[in-house]
Amino acid sequence: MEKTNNSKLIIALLILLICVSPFGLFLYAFSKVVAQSISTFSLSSFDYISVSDLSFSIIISLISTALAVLIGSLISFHLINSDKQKFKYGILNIVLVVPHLGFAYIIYLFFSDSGFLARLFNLGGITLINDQLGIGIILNYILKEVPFVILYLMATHKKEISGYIFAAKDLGAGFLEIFQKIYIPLNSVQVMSIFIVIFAFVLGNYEVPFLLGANSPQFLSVSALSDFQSIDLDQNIASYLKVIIIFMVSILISFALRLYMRRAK
Amino acid sequence: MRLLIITLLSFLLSTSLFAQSATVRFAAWGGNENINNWIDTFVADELKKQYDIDLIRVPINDAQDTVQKLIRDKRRGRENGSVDLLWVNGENFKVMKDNGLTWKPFLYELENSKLVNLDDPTIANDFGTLHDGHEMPWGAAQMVFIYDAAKIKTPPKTLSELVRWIKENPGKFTYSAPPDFTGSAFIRQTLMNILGRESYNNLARTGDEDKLRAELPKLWTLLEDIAPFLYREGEFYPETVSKLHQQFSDGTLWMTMDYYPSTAQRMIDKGIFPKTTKTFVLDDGALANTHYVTIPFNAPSKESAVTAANFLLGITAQASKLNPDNWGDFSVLDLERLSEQDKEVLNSVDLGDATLDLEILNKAKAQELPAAFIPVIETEWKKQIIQN
Repeated sequence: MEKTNNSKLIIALLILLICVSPFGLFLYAFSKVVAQSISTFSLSSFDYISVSDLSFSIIISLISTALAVLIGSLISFHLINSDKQKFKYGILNIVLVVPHLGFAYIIYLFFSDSGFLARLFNLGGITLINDQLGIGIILNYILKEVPFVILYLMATHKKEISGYIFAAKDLGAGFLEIFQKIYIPLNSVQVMSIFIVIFAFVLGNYEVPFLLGANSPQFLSVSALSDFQSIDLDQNIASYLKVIIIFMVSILISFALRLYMRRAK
Repeated sequence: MRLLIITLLSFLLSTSLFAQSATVRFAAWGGNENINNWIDTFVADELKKQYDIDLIRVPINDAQDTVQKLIRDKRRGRENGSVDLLWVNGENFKVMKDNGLTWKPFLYELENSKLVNLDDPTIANDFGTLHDGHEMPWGAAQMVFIYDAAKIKTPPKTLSELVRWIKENPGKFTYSAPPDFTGSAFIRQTLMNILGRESYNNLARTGDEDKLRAELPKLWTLLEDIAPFLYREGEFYPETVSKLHQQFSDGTLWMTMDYYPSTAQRMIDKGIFPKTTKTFVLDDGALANTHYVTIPFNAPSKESAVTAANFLLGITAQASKLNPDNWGDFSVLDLERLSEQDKEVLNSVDLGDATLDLEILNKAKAQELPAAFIPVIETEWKKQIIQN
């Protein structure tokens, strides 16, 4: 009896933590904007929000998330069918314990123009980081999030799906065919939720685009922090507006995905 | 929430109740172990020995928090505050002065203030705010360029020589992108070098934003002119000055810069920069700023705070602070006003080979622009240099 009570309490606390922290931030940002707008709000705050920064943030986040989820689910599908599952997964697991800032720094040390790879091979001045296409950022998120996707998909893997896979194999279906027609459709809920989790994280993350991004276009999260630290009041308010925009975009994307899923069914 | 406020308030109240008259609570940024250690040992020991004052260092993250607290104190009429001495920066001092949170012009009462050239514009105004004696200059910082003497035989002496050097050595120079403090300072300094000291000082004194905007195109012309010769053809400006230092140490860049004249020597001692590293300033001038301490209006032991402040400004404390082993922060004392003996004390501090002599630094000294100009320049820089 006691055990179930405890676990309910823990779940309640977890939900509270998960909901309150982003929502609290949102409320704080919103109340700041409302409070300041009454006295000083001017439209010039919007000058600090550039459309190219906003679209850049969203597009790069979408690309990194999609690639990470795709590669992650391919590998997890492969792992499910392979023998040395634990060993192979253990290697990938190492990436999970490195914090994002540390990982971004590793990427920087490897790929910068005075970095490890540039010294080993003459790359002819090609730099993959701090570029305007956001390649460094995408690379970082793919490498960092793929193990996370695998962890999630393997933990939620159901025995009966394996049965379907075996049956399909017996009937002569290939790797990609099974992946596309059996594995993904049966795991669609998990794939979608992991997509939303990663997307919301990537869009709001500060340190990776700060270290690996270009001066412009810039992630909203990066300029939001420098706006926050500015002594200019309009710029300050722009910082809160950006936080709200990031929050709204995450919510919109998750709604859109849910809607799409419902339609597909 | 109410519980939290009550706990905090009772905590504050209890600390101030227990504060005795001979205790000075010194609120200072606590982010640097060297500085903390110097205050806790040298300053605290000397104050106890010479004046029987107990110095308690209150580590703070940002003086802004303390200033916010003082604003609340003022509103509630709380006369018995929790801080006697506050290490403050220009932005926060402006807030304090505008809201009447400082005590009085105590600076002029200090015995040691005679040793300081209070008319020097880098000392008389704190990022554009005249302090009128409400705060005491404590230490100084100045912008220097850092280079490797093994690679560059004669460093540039003027802005035009620097520009020529940049063009002759493509890819070897850059500056960090604002809002990084050092990169932003480099841009302001270049503006000063272009305008010349006299019209720059006029601009700083008037604080007229329209005048600033009228002068800015000259700055953008020069920065656009050098951009193709910078690191990565000016397509990317590192986001922090530490990246600049890192690229200098691995040889990608041949020059870097810092707002602290003693940084280069510290990096050599740590083995990060090559031993042949040296620093230089342009004859056209190098930005300098001063940092200050002030006494809040509700400091519980104002007299002891004055004594402590006077000690911090004295030759013993200033020389000890200058020593790179302790802190390496520059003195605000005017060499001309010191006795031969005191001058010798200051000059005998071993700053290391990479740090410039005080006289060279003093000659190049130029004041900062008003704090309100900084965001204007930074925003315009982004528009002109990055987005174009």
